[in-house]
Amino acid sequence: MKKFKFSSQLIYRFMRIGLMPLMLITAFTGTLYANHVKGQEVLNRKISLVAEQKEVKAILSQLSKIADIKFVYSAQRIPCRQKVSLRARDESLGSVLDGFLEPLDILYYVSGEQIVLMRKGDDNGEFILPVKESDKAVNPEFSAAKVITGKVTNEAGDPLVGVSVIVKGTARGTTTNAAGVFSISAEPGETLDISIIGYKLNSIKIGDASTLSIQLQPEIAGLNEIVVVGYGTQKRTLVTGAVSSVSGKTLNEIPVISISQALQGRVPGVQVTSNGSPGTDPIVRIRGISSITYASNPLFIVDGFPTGNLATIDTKDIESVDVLKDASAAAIYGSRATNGVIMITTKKGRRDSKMRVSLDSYFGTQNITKRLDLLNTDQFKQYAIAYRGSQVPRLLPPYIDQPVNTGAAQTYGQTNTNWQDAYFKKGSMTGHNIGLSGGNDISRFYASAGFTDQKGTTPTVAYRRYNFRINSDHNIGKIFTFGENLYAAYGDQAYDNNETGSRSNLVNVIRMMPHMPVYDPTSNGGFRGVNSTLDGGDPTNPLEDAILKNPGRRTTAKILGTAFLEINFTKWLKFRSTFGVDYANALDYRFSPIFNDNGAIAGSSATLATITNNRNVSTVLLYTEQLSFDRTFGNHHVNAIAVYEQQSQNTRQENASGNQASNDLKTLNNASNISAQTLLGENTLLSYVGRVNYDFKGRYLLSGAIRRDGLSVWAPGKKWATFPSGSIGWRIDQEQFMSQIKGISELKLRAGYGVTGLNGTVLGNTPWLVSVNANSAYYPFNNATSAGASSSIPGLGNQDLNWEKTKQFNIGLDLGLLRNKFTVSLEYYQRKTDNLILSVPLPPSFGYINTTVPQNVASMQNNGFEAQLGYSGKAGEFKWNASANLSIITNQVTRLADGVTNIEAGTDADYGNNSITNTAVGQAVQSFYGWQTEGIFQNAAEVASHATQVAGVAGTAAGDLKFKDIDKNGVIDNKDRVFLGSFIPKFTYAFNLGANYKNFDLGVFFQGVSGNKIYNATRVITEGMIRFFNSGTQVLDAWTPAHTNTNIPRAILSDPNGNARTSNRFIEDGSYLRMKNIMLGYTIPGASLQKMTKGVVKSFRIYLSAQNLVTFTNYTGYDPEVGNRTPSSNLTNGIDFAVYPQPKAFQAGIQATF
Amino acid sequence: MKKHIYKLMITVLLIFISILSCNKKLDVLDKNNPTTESYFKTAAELQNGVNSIYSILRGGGLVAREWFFTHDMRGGECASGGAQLEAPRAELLKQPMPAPSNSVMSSVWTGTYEMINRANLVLNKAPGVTDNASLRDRLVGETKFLRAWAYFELVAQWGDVPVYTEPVNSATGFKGKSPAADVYALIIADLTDAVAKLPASYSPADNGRATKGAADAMLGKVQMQKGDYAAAKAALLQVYGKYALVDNYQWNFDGDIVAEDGNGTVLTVGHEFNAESIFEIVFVDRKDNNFNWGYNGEGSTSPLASVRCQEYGITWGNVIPSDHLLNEFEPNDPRYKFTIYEEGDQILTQTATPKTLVAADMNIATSIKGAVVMKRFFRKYNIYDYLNSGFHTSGLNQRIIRYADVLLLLAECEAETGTVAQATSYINEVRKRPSVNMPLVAPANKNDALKAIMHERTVELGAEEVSSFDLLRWRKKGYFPSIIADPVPNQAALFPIPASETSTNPLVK
Repeated sequence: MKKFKFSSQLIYRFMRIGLMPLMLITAFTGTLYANHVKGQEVLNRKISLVAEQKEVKAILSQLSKIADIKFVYSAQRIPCRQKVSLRARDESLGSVLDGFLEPLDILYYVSGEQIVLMRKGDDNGEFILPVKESDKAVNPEFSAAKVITGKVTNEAGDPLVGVSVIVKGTARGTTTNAAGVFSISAEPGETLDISIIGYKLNSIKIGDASTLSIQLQPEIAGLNEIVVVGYGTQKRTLVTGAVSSVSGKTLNEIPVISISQALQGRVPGVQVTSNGSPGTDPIVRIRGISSITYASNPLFIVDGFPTGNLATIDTKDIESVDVLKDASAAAIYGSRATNGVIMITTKKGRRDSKMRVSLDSYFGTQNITKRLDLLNTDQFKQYAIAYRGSQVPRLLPPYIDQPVNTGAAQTYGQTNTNWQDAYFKKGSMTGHNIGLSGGNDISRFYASAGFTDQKGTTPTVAYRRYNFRINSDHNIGKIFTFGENLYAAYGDQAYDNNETGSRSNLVNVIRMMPHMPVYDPTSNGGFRGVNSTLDGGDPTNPLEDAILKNPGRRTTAKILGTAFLEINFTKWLKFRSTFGVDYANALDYRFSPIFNDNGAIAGSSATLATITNNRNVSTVLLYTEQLSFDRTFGNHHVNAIAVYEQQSQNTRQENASGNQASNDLKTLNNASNISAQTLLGENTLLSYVGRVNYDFKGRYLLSGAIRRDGLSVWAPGKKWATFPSGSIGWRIDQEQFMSQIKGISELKLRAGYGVTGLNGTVLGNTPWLVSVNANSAYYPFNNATSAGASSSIPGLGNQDLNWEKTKQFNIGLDLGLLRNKFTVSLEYYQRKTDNLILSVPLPPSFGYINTTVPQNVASMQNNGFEAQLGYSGKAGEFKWNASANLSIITNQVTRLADGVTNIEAGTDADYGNNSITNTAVGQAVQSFYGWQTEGIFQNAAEVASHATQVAGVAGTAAGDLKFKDIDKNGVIDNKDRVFLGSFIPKFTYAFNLGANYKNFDLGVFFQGVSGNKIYNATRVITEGMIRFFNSGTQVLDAWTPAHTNTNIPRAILSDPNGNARTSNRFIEDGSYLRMKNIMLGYTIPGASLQKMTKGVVKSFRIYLSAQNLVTFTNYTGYDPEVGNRTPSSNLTNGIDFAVYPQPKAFQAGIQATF
Repeated sequence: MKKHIYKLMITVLLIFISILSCNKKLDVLDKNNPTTESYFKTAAELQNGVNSIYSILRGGGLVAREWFFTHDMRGGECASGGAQLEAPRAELLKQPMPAPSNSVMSSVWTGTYEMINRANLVLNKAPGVTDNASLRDRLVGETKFLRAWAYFELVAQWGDVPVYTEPVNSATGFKGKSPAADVYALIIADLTDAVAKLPASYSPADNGRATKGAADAMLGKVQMQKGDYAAAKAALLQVYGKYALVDNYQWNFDGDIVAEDGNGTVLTVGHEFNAESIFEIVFVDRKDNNFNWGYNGEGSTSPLASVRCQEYGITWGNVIPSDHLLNEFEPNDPRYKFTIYEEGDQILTQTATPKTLVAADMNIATSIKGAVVMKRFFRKYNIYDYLNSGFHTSGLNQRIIRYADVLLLLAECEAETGTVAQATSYINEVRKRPSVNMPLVAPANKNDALKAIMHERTVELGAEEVSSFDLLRWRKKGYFPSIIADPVPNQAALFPIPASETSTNPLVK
């Protein structure tokens, strides 16, 4: 008995001349492997049959009925009419066939629900693939065509096995055998399509020759790559806009919570800046800053659904991210696309009838190792005398010898708290994701469950998420496809409510006196606060603040579900209707207890517990009706879509707070001083979208899109606007004259222009409308707390408020060399917004509490250049790749409102009480602005001969800073301020190196910015000496008559000379280069793994990775990656109010498939 | 084609369903607030509008915080408590003229204009309110009083300022500066109208609203500052005899609270809205140790307290009495101990035992009275329990005008335009208060009378935010140094227009 187990070496020759019309090809070699298991199932079917001297044909026909299978064979090669006998009683089909066919020299194998028969010796040419019902009508005995035999080789001339050969437009096909040889019947004039994955398709028209020799060229990397472009996909080679893609694999190299963090450094033109403690979403900017008043956040689209709450999306579920950067690409999202669009595509199952189970799991730690040099207790004593002229009472008898708390042995004099060490802690991170996927021709699915837990490096801060996903789609017959994506996530964020702003907990870490203990077991609450009289200043204990007074918890439940029905009218015309819901329910809860920290400053105690309970529910509904057309007419290929879309959002905010007289009561039930408020919000966007992509011979590309958006947030009459775009491309590599130039595998020139808008919802739901603040305050007539309800009109409305439109021009070049081993992509763009919506500051004499009114008045321009380079190489088993990207942006404000000369921001009494940034025409947005220093006064004569430093005050003395008298009027005043640089880097860059050797893989990822300035406001705290607190050790280097060789001005009460005013003293170069990630992985070899696990585990990779191991920078603050810590202003980027340094993190992880 | 019909039907159906449900959805209005068109139609709503002017007045940008700083830092009666005094306040204290960007000064500018705009809205809407004409007219009177108060703060400190008499309804509704004389004319017209429309008193529930007496007294103050002493006297005489000095000087500053020690013994009883009080700003301490730092008085549950006791108290200790004020007190003037706490004083605590103040308890600089250097701080407007811990706000009502002030203003008017004898009589009325009971004065001539008035205003009204205007008035008359030395020499007469105004209003440079 001999049975053929299917293997790649075995290619069955079956037919000769004229046996062609039997078959239909639905799958290639890969599929055949897949069917093996199923084949066994078929062969195990039980058969009972008795046949005496029947024709083979008749027996096969009977077996076919009994076993519910089909036999495929050629009547000319199989002895159909030979009579044989067969007896089978409850035997497996396999053994029946073995016994019945072996004597006839017939081999068989199973393909799906079909069994293919062939004569021995025919096994080196064609084989027959499953037959479609409709083709069975063809007479199997028909014969006419000639036999073509051929050999297929690769670029090196070696035979290629398993190459599919199909007669174009027919159901005939075969594959090559072990020698790379095939034979197939075809008529002259017909075309053979010869294809195998990894090589370019080769089409050969049959002529007179009956033997062919075909050399396949390797597929050029990336050419078949599909790019998500909004309302559809496009082959990368045909894209004419500026689109960058990142794979899910790349994104998941770094264990982060949010997709936006994962994008850092991955895409040229996309700048991601960390903005706070671990877990806080970073600032994402595509191609610079486009707005003065509003955050320039890009639009995030998850599987076609514009959504927020990105921290709740598990990055492990992401298949790819495509960033639409220029207007011609992004304009399909019209009114919301000014700041670019980030398209996130989640995973789907494959249609290969295989179930995949993947497990991805890691754990790790993170730690902040950077420390500033702060004063210890001895140094603090020294500084107190220098600054105040006297010691703080606490460090004098009798206090200095008193125990830090009743019953403690340690005295204040003996205490030396390192507040940084006390504050920063080791964080941990762990993540698990199990994914299941599979599918066949009818259905496919991807399902996953994930768990992420990060504990931050500062007190309280942590994030935990549970998430579940099911993506599936189903073909219902040939016409309908139904699919749905369902995502549910529960995020639980513990946060520190005093993390932002200018007196954040990290600032208090710097300011806390080293002679103070962190804890006090005798206090109510367990922490210890300062007494400003005894300790000389009033910092808040940062651990107390974070752990006891201000911890908050934000829990978000998010459900994002979409379902679609697709109707395939014809191969080239489809209609798809999508409906989706994005529901997020966020509860923000804070409990600030009754406590008393035995200190004596504001916030040292509370006699009532305060409970804050804010809920924010958002429901977004989306309908999309889309008609897609895709057809080729000769050399013309047209892809067009028409879309109607409707997206509406309803929000409900429920804010409540109140007091309880006991720490045991955690709710507002029967609380006192209850304040409750509910707010409803609603907005709707209606859109009509059209796009046509046209190419001629795949060589000349033309694309045009138009979107008409109606948005409820605008005033009546201003609701609709149209956003057109167009782009062209020329694939020069497809030209005849390029075929001579072998080195160039890809060369494409692109240009596009488009108009995009600012997402109006950032302005609120009715920004043009002013309402009455009814009963919004009280005046306590007769000392009654709820008397005198007061109503007022808070601001001005603007009925003329209109869509903000940005015009963008983009030109790009894609170049691939040496079969795309080396790739280059270059972009140049200009973005200009003429009717930029500015919150125009109103004169205070208008008397409105809302001090600004939005108007379309300003104008801004961003020009930029981007480059992306890639290289991949191979030497034996060593493979490596390198990629790099670079982005250069210049920003300029070209107009502000009439009467508004400039907009200053960043004023803060703790930081010198001068503005820090200035937005003025001709400058980059929010450039740093202040005085210029020119050394230190060494003696009174120098003071006298220099311009007066502070008008009317004789506070300047030797040791103070000299400020430059720019206008030479003898007085240093506001007019002597100059622009001191911008927070916008001159360029940002990143590079990534990857290597594989045998089963090892290594990746290193660097990311950097260059040429930006940081206003190091942390140094105002550590060495500015405006008010008295603990400080940096720099203050010990302050100027004194005996110590004149220094750049630190004298220590003097209250800084009468304004040494700490905004000046170039605190401006630093913010350039840095950071090793963002390094990763080493080892994959256990497949064979040994299969053996070890008896085939259960298919692949197993183990890796170690580390983030932020090395940072090269001259910046002296905690971290050069400075975001915006003043949530109320968009004009304070790059001011370092003590940013949380990026932690060094280490992980170990496994990735396994089953 | 036939087989496609059902596909088409489904398509059309889907499109129909989705389009059906839209278009009107673009008409979204604010569901959370009444519209400007629908509101301010009734007298009750108009009263809420008037209350919102009071609400600004008691906000942190004005009387609860920044307003008393602008006056006290410029009035010569206060000094810095130490390095903790924040820069913009120190700038007001120490510099002849603050920078245009000074945030304290700008807050007062902003706050007064917020009052004005809200007042203008009420006056604009009042004619349309018909459901209660008498209430409406009273409200118009209150509004005009408050608008006049605001414009008086502006014109006295800045001189020429923009004048708005209608609510601003366009982003380009800029006004340039009007001459100070025009501003005064508007204030006087407003107060005259307020006098006509306001009642002499209210039922207790409305305690705190402007009265006819308040309008008369304000009118007197305004006329004096303008230099028309005759008109001032006429106005002030309308108040004379209608109010009275309370026997205990301290009752002007002891608040509305009934403070108890731990054992139920009453330590103090408040005396707000008393016979001496002509107009006061009402504060209430909700005991949640909270302050409305937001400056604008908004927020339906925001604290209604003043932060003055904290700013001038011993834990923050930003402001202490100036040596000038300390040394102005005659020996044994009981008002010294009513105004100032110093080392060695007994201070009430929340237990039965008072606490003796020692230097180490006080986070403040020392001051010099005579030759005695020690730590001293304001008792006036402080809260009546020993508080060296944490943060406390106060519910003490801020007197804007009290009868003692009116008497001394009348004395000044008499000295300027009437008889020295009558001026002396008014001064001595103040000195004869039972709890004060200082020897009577007998100035020989006008300058002596003025000197006595200057002294009496300082010790009677010390740190009550009247001296800064007094100094401006007297400086203009050239009384420094002919009568006394200027307590704040070299001070510029007027504030600069805030930078926040000049950078946004093209008509004001």
